[in-house]
Amino acid sequence: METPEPSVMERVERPAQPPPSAEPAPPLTFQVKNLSIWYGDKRAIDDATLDISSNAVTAIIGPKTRVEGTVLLQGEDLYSSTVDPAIVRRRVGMVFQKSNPFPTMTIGENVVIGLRLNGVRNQKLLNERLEKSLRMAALWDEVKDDLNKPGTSLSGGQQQRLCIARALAVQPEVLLMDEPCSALDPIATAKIEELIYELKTQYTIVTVTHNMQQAGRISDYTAFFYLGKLIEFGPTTKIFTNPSERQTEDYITGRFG
Amino acid sequence: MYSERAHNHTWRKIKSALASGIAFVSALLVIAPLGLVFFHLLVNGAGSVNWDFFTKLPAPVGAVGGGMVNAIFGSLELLALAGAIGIPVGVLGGVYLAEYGSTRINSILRFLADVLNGVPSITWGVVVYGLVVLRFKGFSAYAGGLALGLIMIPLILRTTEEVILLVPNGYREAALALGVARWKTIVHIVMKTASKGIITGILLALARVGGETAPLLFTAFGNRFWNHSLSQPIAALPLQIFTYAISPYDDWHRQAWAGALVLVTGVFCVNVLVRFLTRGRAASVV
Repeated sequence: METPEPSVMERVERPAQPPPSAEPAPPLTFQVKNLSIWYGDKRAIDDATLDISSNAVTAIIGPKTRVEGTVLLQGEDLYSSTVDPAIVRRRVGMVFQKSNPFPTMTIGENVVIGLRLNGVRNQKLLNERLEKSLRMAALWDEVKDDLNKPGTSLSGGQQQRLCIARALAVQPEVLLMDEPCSALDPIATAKIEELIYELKTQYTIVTVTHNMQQAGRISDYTAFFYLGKLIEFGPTTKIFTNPSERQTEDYITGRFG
Repeated sequence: MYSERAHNHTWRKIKSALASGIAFVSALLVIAPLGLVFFHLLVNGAGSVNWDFFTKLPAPVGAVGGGMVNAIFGSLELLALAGAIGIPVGVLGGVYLAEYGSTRINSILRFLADVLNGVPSITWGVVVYGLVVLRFKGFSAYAGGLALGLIMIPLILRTTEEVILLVPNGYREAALALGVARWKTIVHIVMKTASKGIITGILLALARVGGETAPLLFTAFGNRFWNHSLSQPIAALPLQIFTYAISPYDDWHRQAWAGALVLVTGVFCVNVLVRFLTRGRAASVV
């Protein structure tokens, strides 16, 4: 895992309304309390406290050397010694900066590999989940006739949506996206953003971006980190129009960054 | 001023031509021995490679004719035994070096594996002679296979480690992020991605030990008849070539040439197979 760069915008999305007929979504997916994370001697996150955060996730998957503070995922302490990281990862889907479909597998295999390796053998269920995930990732219509082609034969934007489908197939509770569009052209980016907009009715989405306009376009809540410190966290409209902190304003208005 | 620049330009061109000329000649010198060996083997051995060679046992001493069928099958049996020892240990060891362990211990293990790769092959023969042949009071196919297998281990270990390290970290992270257990990630994602490289390493190691003579001298020992039990001495192609080549009989010399030709052709075929395997789909990153 890369160490987060000094200035990182983190935006947090929550369902505008809970999906009908479902349990009301818990108000807080992640609770982060006094979290500090070290990579070797470098302190990447410095004493952050917020209600929904993605830096916590950096800690879960990164080669963390020392962690202080707590991260609660729906009330459960992720750093408790009794928590199995594999189980947490199943509940928390992850989409990476660079699309990484498995090169030895077809499009279809890529989507269901998470289920397969987690022990699902039922071919009917796998097929159902395959189609559902690809539909949710807005990729089904483009690849439904090419499910046996290698995943790497797709275009960059399609590969990234394939990775989103792969993450969705294991039915996580949260979706983390680490700069999902930074390697994509504007048209592919627009598609992914549209997809994020669709998915947020069903998932809590946490995403990292360096792109101000993108943060403004797609997010409901924004957290601003600078040099590992959480500077400000609040509704996106407030952060962008009326920030409380001077540093936030400087960054938003383009005085640095 | 102008003429000086023009002169410089010409001189540069000459230097460039000189450099590529030297590189070309060096490349030829590298390939030439292979061509010479193969040509020499063809001239001396092709005449004796016939149906008898592949189907008949060695003729009694003094009689003309006979073949090396027992040695050909003996070599294959020895390779199977060697693979049974060398492939699992080598591949799993390579996986350990690439995926587990601490940097410090791994660098020591890696160094030791490189030292083992440099150990003269006859040493392995002596080691197995001491450990197995003396203890069980007899030369055997098992001992020969063990000697070859021990040579294979560090070879396969290092190639496996290298190709596994070539697998981009993004794939490991992607699999782990799906909640897949570490060992499943390694087996189903990492090793699968690197499988062509691993198989290539295995085949090259088999080709390498298939031509080894020295480690078999005091282990497999050789046999002029069919081997009926793996705990008995067994014939092997390189061993048979060695025995025939130092014999005083012209017919045996001719058969030694033929055996060498067959052996080199076999190794050549394995290398071509490796080439073929590694070409494959663009999907293979390693």
